[in-house]
Amino acid sequence: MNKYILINQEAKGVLNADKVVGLIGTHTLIDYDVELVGSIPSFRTYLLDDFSGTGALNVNLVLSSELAADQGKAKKLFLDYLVKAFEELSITSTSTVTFYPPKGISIGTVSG
Amino acid sequence: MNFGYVKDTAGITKPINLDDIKIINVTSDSITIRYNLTGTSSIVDELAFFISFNNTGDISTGQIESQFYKWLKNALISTSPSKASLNSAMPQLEIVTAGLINTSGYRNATFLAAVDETAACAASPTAACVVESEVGTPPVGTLVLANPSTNDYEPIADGTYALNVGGSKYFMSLIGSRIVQITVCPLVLDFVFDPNQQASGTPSDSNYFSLANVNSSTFINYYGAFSMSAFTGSGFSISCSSLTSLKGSNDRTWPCGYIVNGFLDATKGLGQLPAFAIQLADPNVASWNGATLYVSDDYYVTGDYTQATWVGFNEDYWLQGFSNFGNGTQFPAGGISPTVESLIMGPTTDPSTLQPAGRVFIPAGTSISGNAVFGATQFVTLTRTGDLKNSSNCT
Repeated sequence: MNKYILINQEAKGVLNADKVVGLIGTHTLIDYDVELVGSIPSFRTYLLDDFSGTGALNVNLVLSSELAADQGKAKKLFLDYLVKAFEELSITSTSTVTFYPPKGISIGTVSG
Repeated sequence: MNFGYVKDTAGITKPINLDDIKIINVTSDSITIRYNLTGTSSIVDELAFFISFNNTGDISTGQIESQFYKWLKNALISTSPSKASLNSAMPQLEIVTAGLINTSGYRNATFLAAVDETAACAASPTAACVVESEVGTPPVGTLVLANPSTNDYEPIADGTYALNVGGSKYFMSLIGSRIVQITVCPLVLDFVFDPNQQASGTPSDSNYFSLANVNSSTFINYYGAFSMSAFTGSGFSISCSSLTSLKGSNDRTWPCGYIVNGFLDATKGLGQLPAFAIQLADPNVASWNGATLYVSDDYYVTGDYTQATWVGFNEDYWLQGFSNFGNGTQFPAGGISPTVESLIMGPTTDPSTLQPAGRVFIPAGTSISGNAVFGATQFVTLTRTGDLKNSSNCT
């Protein structure tokens, strides 16, 4: 049975923020990373059944000015929050958990 | 859904998919989890989750393998993420990195141990490594792995090193095979060639640095001049068998040949043409092999190379187009025919990659940083990375 991490557009606590803009299926997920190239960092997933060296899902991250000045910090924050969602999903009996990005990061374009 | 977890030296925790594992390879400094059996032995751009570690406890490969399988067995039945932590199960290992290795995410580089910045910036690193950074100066936190042979990626011991990435030199400190401090070395040049030295006529001998072009007619089109009867010679066939070919009416090299033949005059940008510069692999050894070619669009402003902005003359640069290479440029961006690459790559072949390579003509001269002396004009292979190879004398 596949389980999914639902990607919320905004951080928890942001007014009127609940809006799912994408999902990560975990069954065939073998890796993910945040690529820091150019002014817009992107979150990418790598799948067992649809593998590409350049990634499958491609999610642009929109950073606050503070985090834009320290993209390394933004990357670590984002991945720290994501693995918490992963851990939550692994112990819950439900098939989904919602991932809220950390404050200062919102989800931009989601593409495959 | 079965996942284990692993935390690297950057402090990032990642899940490890424990379903559908096909094979596990263990060495004294890595564990590779493969999800297919049909791939090559390569781990790059493959379904291979690569875990690299410093074996601080110096435990045997057999022990690592034994502990890993014990962890796997527990992780598969664990209901708690904390109990599925590979780090906790293998505390003797300092896990440096974990995840897939994709060529799109790193650059090849070289490194060498160096006691301080002065030593690092004077050094010529030769040990191969990969840097998990795609552009510019690798930031603090960047992973650097030694790459002594194909498919062999190893952590680098804590310490200070010289690093050369695409011709740019750095002094860096590594802890856990990650950069904790990095300083850009000042660019030390050995030769500067300025084609603007003559407002008309022939550039002076010491500045007669020029590139062969693959097809004279397309280079002409690039500048929006669709005929050039003044030229009688061939394009890249100049082999320096006669210097009169290089510096005479048969010279279709760029920019000097175009200046000699009156095409690149003041109305076409002469006076503001870019200058070229070369950094030798060793400023005291007269060899173009391993040298790096640079270009500056603003050297003409002051004529002082220490104040000019220099960038590597490589494919990253010329894919942007020659927007400053003379007024009247018709196709300043790569991707529009004729591309810059199609103009300069092809006169010869890079012996290492067998890819088309360029040819540059370099005048005689003496290094301004060391004591290397070149006694004759030579033609040299220019690779896509902006490195020079295989010099031959023009006679």
